[in-house]
Amino acid sequence: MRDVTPTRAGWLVGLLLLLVMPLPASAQPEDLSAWVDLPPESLRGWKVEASAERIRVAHERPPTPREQVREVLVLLTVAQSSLNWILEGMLPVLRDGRVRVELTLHKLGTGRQEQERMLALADSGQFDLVVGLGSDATRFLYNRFGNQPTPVVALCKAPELWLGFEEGASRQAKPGNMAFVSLSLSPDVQLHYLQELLGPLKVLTVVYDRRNQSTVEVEAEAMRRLAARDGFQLLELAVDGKRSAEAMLSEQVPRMAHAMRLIDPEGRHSLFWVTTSSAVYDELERIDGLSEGIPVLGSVREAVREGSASAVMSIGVPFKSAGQLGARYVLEVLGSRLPASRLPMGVISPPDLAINLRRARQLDVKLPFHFLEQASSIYDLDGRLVRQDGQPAVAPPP
Amino acid sequence: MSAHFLRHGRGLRRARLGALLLVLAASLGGVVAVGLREAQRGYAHLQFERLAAQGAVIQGPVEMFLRVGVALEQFTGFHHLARALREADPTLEAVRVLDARGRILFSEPPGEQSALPLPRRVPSPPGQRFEVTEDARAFRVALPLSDRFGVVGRLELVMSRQAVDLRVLQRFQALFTLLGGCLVFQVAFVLGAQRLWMRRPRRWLGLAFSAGFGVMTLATSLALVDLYSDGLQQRTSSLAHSLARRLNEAARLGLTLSHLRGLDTLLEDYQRSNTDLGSLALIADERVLVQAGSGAGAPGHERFKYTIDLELTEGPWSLPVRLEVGAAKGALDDRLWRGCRGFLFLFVACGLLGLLVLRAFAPLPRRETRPRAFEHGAVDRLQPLAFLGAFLDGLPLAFLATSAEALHPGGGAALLFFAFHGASALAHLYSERSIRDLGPGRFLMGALLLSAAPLLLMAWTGDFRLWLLLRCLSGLGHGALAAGNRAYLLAVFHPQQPPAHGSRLALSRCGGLLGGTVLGALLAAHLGPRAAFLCGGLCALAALAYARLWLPPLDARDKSRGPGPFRASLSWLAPPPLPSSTGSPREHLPALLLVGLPSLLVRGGVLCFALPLWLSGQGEDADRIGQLLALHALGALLCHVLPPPRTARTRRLLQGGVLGMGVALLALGMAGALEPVFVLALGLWGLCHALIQACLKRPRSQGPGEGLARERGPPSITPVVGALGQCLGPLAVSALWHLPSEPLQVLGGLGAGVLLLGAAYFWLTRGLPGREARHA
Repeated sequence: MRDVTPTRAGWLVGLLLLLVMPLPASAQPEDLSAWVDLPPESLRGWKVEASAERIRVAHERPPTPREQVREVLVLLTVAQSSLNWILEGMLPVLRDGRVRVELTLHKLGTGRQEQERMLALADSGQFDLVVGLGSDATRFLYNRFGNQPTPVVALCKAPELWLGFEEGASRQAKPGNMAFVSLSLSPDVQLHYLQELLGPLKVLTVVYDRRNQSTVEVEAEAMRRLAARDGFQLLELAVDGKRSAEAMLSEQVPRMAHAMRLIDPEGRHSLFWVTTSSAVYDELERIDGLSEGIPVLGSVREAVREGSASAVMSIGVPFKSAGQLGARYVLEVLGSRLPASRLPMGVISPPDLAINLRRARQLDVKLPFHFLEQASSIYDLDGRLVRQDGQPAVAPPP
Repeated sequence: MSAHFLRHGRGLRRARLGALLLVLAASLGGVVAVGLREAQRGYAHLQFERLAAQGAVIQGPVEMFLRVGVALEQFTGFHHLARALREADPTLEAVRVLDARGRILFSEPPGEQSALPLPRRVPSPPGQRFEVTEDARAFRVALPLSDRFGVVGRLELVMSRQAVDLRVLQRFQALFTLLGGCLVFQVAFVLGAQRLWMRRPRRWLGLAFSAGFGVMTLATSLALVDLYSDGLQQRTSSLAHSLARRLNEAARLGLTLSHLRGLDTLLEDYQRSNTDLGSLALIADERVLVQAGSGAGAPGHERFKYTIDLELTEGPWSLPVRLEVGAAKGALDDRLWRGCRGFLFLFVACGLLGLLVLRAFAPLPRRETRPRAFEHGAVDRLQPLAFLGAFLDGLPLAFLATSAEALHPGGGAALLFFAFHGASALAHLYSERSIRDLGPGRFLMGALLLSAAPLLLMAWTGDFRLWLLLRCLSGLGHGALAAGNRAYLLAVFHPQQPPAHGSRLALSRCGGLLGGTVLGALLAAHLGPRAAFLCGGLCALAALAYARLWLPPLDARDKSRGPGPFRASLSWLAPPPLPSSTGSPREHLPALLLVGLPSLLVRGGVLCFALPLWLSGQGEDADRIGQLLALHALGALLCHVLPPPRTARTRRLLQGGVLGMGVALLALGMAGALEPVFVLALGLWGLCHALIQACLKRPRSQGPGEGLARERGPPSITPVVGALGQCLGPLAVSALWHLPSEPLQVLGGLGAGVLLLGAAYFWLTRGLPGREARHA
């Protein structure tokens, strides 16, 4: 048998990836109108015309002669629930804004031809502003549409980390026509909350999906940086997509927990940190069950659930709030003559907290009083949802 | 009743008694009025804090709801929360939630559709989390409602004014009775014991006045303590209510203290936002669960301790928990001291006024028989007018700069002061001819009328251009009054005998400035600027009547005196500001330019313009600003009260004055934010300023030849330079004020400038022969 040289192996892996990568995209519905599903109260005051190619969201009220309509092109890459939450946050702000804005939603697509067509559309002069929703759209606009005359507002996870620029003195200059809104919480803020909950951290295991690029580049990388800075031990548990996650977590979580106990025998200053990879938080029950009493926390709201199979707490950003902030940025850019890049990166604060009191009590985690007041979702000592969206949760009929 | 009757014998005695009783009644009534207004304001402020604490009960849940990203109008549960608040507090008229555009979204009681903004904003200390507006009927406390991105609306709690006023009046009823008794005693003493006090009026009347003032001050202070204590208790109760609600939220989730931490932070937050709370402690079963501050059981300096049972009704909180709040002693002391400072200044101002009245209404001996006593009496009768001139000058000092900046931002204040002092200088320069044509008496009447009318008109207008015009007229009146006063004094004196009572007039002026600054500030703070202008106008009209009836008769002077000597003596009355060494005009000019001009420039720019604006920016009320500015006048008063220095040391005194003034300004510039430094520096500055002016204006000893030479010489340029300094000061300081990041640094720069120029002057004149001897 001939040895497979590393170069040839690389080619083989690349070929395999080319075959595998389009799969998720092909799983996306072709019809754009199926991507967006908004509650009626968000659409109050708007008129929606949807087709397979585009969705047009315009004001119901016709414009007055003095009103100037500003056209905004919204580029989408993936059909997922977060897209709906972001739009749900954006539309009420745009409806009541001082500038009359009308939206046209288009799929960015993954094919070269499709992307060139979108680039031409953005550059056609029909639109006063382009909004990129999601990491792929942001990266595309950053690489292909940077420093163009049309301004851009891009919403994605921690753009500064993976697009390679910094606010202020930059490694790489931010394009003059682009403003960014982060869909993830600042890692420093997350760490602050974690330390307030558990005291000075001794060891933290970050669990992520190495196939989820933004999670690797944003969340795992941020934890590495913070661990180096604050001097706590960082362990990494990476799964390879959903399929292998179950087996890998079943094997690795107890080993990790054991290693953590060696560093922090009582486990009071340690935690498993579940990132936003669905491959990971879908296996939360497993992680929690095998964590040997070490609390599990996450950055995604879905990590906190009813009953005992739940993270103790999640510290994240509600997409709806990010949508609101994105809409404010759109209005700000359209309403001013200054370049979009003068706007600082939009970050949501304070974060959204969801707490499971049952898990907190089982693990003997004492909660700071203001967490309780700040939390938008709370599960009580019996694991039942008692607060949702900041309001007392309505109990389902028996 | 004829003028002759009022000027002589029984008529004069009656007028004197009447004026004395008026001053006594005004001062005792003033104590109660100041106390009453202070109580209304202080008690109202405690009520605002109480309402804000109550409002937090609704603000918390609404903001939690907003943070999730839901629109404000979708909040449910407002009526439940608001109704509970209104049921617990009958003074609460309404609770509303308004959006950013001011539309009412929720209202309890329901039905209100619109809420017009109330006309007046109650000044708030820096860092206050809520805003208060008021009108004649109600107070409105507004708390901001914020989501993650900013303020999206406000929560308003409306409280009836009547509730505050009634409560205060209830507490002050006994005080009114005491005031009546005190007044009766004073009247009985003044009328019944005339034989006793006529011999030594200052001692006995002073004693009676001080006793009455002391009793009223004590009683008013006790009433204030009682009222503030009550207000603090109510506010504490509201805080406890708010805390109980928050703890109940946790209890409703089934959590006990063992599940939670950070309650000490919660209490510390309360303490931080209510700085006068010394300690807070949650106590259950005589055991301190959580505490912030020095603790309920710890030996502290607290004077007041309140215990409120928390109505923890939810979940597992079965233990009766109570909140113990120790109000720091300093909290009440501060509030009381604030009132007492007003009483203290009132005492000084009223005491001075009483003395002036006592002297002014004393019988005037005949010039022919007792010329020295006549001159003394003539000065006594002119002193009230000197007092009035400075009183009117000081009256708007505490609030005019702020009001002008509000009307015309970015230079309005400087323009007003420029107009006033410029017009005053013009009046100084051009009054001479009018005095000769009209005669000093009629000129003085005109000056008083010119002083009264613009002030009365300013009370009724809010247009900046009109204010500018009226301040010009006011300045003309001010200058004319000073010139007329001097001319009148000169006219009643023997032409060859220059009046030697300048320091008494200066004393009256300092007293007037102090009284005017304090009273104007008190009126502006409690009743608004209009009341201060009205008071000034009415005082000037009263002085007009006084001047018509009681000024010393001019026919007593030597009729052979012609206009020539009069002119010369008028220029003498604006004495050349020569220090001892400046015998010739060549030496005189450096003294004026290097010492006199900077001193007046700084006074005009800093005292009239910069400090009121800075203090107002620091959140100080007009009355506090007035009290602080009055320290300058108090320092100057001290300079005139102290025994006069030996003339041979004039140069040393001048050096001391320049040094003291420079140091005071440097201290203000470097550490003016510290109150003790500010107070001391301002007093020192006032003292040194008066010292410099006294040294510069000290009349040279003169032989007959010297006097004649001065009569023939050119008129002095001193008043022009003085007015120039006062004029240009506000303009110069306003140009510099915003240059550094911390405006007070400008004062440090000015202090350094004063020191440098003073040093230059003393260096230039260091070798002049016989400089000390010339002063002898």
